Amino acid sequence: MIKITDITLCTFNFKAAPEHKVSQLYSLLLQTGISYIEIDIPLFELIEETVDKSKTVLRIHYPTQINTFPGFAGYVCRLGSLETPLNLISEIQINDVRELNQISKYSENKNVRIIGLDDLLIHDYVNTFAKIKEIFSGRVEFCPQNRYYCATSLAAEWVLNKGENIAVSFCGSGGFAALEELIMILRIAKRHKPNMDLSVFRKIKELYQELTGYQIAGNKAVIGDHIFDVESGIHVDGILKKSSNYEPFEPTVVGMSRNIVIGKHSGKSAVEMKLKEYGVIPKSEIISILLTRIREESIRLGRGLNDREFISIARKFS
Amino acid sequence: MKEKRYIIDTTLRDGEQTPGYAFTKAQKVNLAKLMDDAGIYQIEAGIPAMGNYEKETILEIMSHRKNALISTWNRMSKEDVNNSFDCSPDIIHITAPISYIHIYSKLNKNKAWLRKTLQECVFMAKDKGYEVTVGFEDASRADITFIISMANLLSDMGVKSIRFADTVGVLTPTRTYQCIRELIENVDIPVGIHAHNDLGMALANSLIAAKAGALYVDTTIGGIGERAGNCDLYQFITAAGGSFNIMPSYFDAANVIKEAQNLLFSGLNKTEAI
Repeated sequence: MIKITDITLCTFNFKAAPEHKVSQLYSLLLQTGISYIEIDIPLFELIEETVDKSKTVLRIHYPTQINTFPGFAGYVCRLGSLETPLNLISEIQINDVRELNQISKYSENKNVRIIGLDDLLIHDYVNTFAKIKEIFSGRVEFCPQNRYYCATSLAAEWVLNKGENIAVSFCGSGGFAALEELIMILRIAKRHKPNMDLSVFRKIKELYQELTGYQIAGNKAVIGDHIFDVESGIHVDGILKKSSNYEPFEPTVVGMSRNIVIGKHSGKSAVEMKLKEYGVIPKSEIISILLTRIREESIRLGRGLNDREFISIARKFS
Repeated sequence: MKEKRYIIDTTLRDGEQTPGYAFTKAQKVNLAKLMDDAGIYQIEAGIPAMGNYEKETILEIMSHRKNALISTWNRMSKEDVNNSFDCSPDIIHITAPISYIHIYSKLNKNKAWLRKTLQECVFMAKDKGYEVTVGFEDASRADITFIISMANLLSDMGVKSIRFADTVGVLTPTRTYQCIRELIENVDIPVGIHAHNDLGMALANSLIAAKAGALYVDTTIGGIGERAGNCDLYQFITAAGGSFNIMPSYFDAANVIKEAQNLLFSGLNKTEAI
């Protein structure tokens, strides 16, 4: 069974954030189809009322702190020793494949999280995954890091190669695999759909940006504001016939909508569709002249046209 | 000794297709110069069928070119190929829809039509003495045996290389490896990879394709492109530079990114005046 642990809330400083906003982010993350959410002790003390311990993993400094904060689904500790309770996960940092030969010394640990292995994808990752699973008889969780921009694919391959436990963060916060990307990969490649409604990503995105001050790129996979914008003639035409021609999933799946952009690369289909939206009826023979004018204006402005600019040009030809 | 791999940068074609982007002639010419100086193997300069402005731009890129090969992008249409002739590029790249979804559902055509039309377009360009490369659009959702049969046909026609396009960005690394290996083992023509980032794996899939033997890797500056974009040039060099003999170097790639940011995105806030 696939168990995803989200570690987003342990990757940024929430000290200046209002408690209710952090609580809201905690609750929203739990709606994405993850199994557990990881928080640390200061965060637990801040949002204690909201925390569902059965779905929460607590990050602690020493195994003895388990007694001070009982009842969580699990505990994660960097310094976990051999004599530890079954619900304690010992976190082992393995920066790159050259350090892999060190992991056998941890084989007595019952539960481990291997964090790092940024460069594994360029090496024999399938056999490495098998070796890791063989060394550790109990729960093994993988938490790939993103120094080589491959964390999401490593997370996906771990799960697709029967790794059951994986740790990720929203938008790859903190330099890890991106939660939303992994969820969507598993949905498409494995038909794994623990949560049918992923529109929650949109709310998480807004809240995450507000709390971190970080602006998520418009073309960020799965959640970027502009990933369902479409301009080029060939793509608009294909999408209008059937969205799956050029989109891997419907915008509504992630709470977004498609936006036809008019600009330098627009074709006839897009222009006709946009005109229909505004009730402008162009003379059919002038569409190609209109396209040329749009192209000129778009090049002059160095960008696509907004609807007002487009309609202003179109009315001159209607 | 590290194996060689070659970058085909498509910032000026797929990158510019990012909705809302419209580069000027000067921007494209200067960016091509930067990429050429950095040692990029091939620059996909644009789509001649878009009209005279695009053609003039490509001609100017050609006139300044030192080492990079300059290619033009064409739909599988004689009209498009004809337009490319006006630019006298080094390479004419023709894109052919290869998945049944695209052939039957998008175009309402069939495999026989595809085979015939593609052969005609390739012949037309080869007949004029051009190097031709062919991109298989939506290859990641296509029947691999059909891709192999088409690739062998193109190889016999003297096509220089084929491009495996993950048009909707749904490949995973292992699947990429399987597809590229299967192609390489069954065709006698170099293979390239064109990955999209819809699931955040364009770079990983490009890396794995190179590992599987793909000779050419498509990139864009900043990973720009349709939807979630393409494989990011700088990130690819960072990840692959240690494993392959590839140009540009890490430092040259970093420099191209820095200069390109100023060149392409500093004037995006022009006001409307119609």
